[in-house]
Amino acid sequence: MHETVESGPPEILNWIHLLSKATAPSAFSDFLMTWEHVIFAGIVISLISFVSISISKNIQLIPGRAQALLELLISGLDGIVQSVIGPRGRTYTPFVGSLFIYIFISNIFGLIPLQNSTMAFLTTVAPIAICVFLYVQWVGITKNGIPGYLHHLCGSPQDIFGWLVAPLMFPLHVLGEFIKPLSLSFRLYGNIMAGHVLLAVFMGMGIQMLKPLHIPAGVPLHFPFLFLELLVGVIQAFVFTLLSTIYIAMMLPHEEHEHEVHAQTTH
Amino acid sequence: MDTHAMLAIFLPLSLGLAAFGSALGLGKAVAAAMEATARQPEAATKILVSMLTGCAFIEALTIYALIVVFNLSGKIG
Repeated sequence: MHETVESGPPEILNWIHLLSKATAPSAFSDFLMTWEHVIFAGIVISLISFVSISISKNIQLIPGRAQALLELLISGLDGIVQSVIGPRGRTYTPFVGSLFIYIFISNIFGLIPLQNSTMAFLTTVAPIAICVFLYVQWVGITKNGIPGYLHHLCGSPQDIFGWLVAPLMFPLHVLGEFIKPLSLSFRLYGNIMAGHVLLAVFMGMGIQMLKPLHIPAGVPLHFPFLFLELLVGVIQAFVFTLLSTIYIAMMLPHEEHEHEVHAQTTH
Repeated sequence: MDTHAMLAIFLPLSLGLAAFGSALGLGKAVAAAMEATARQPEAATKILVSMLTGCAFIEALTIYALIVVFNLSGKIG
């Protein structure tokens, strides 16, 4: 079940590789190898959609087990978003929460034998980070207005000194906006990919150990690392979500926020 | 020295250097979090969460080096 391929960093064998090898010289096999990441993404997305649609079809006042679980998850996400952005942050919970659920389920899904995480490929992680980038810019433009958005990109200058360094700050902020999705996607992709390579290396070592016996089995040396990967999967999903929230919070107009905080403390 | 030999020597070395810096950072972060938890045990969950996010940031730097190493390791031959 667990094998490593020779070229490049070792990989964990998944069912798409198996199916592709079984139907080797055909267009279908090439199709599978080309769209491997997207197929896994599709599986995860349809799984999440199916579960959430089937549960939310009959919402009751007194929730059942499944509904209670989802409500707990969503209220937790809402709490995180509101603790970062403030009471008006609830608008952003759906976007940020979907990010968390998708990344988290993908990471956990990748630990099931013969499956792989979509987050282990840059081609499927980068679009999520680009979505965050576009959403943050859209929020910045709609909430600040175009002058306010440009003012923010100049580093929100208040006095004469601020305006003097604005030409310097503008390229820095623009560059920073473009670096954000880059670091977001590399962080997630790198962590998950490195985790899978680690697992594959230890699986390979386990198989090598029992090779003289000529039995199709290996020592499960990778087993303790599965728990590490569980932890990493949760933390990386959380970090991605938290960072997206922070980027949105940074883009929002500041005065209103301070005013709200002030209003909260006086009440 | 040809490119293969140079890559074979310096790829692991670069990863080691990145990991060294990360280890120093992680040690500092965890030590501070431990101290904070010892001073105020009731804030342990909050401290844990912010420590884990910080640790993820610090680890990401090593991960960047790791990605570079993986991308270039095919060229060692």
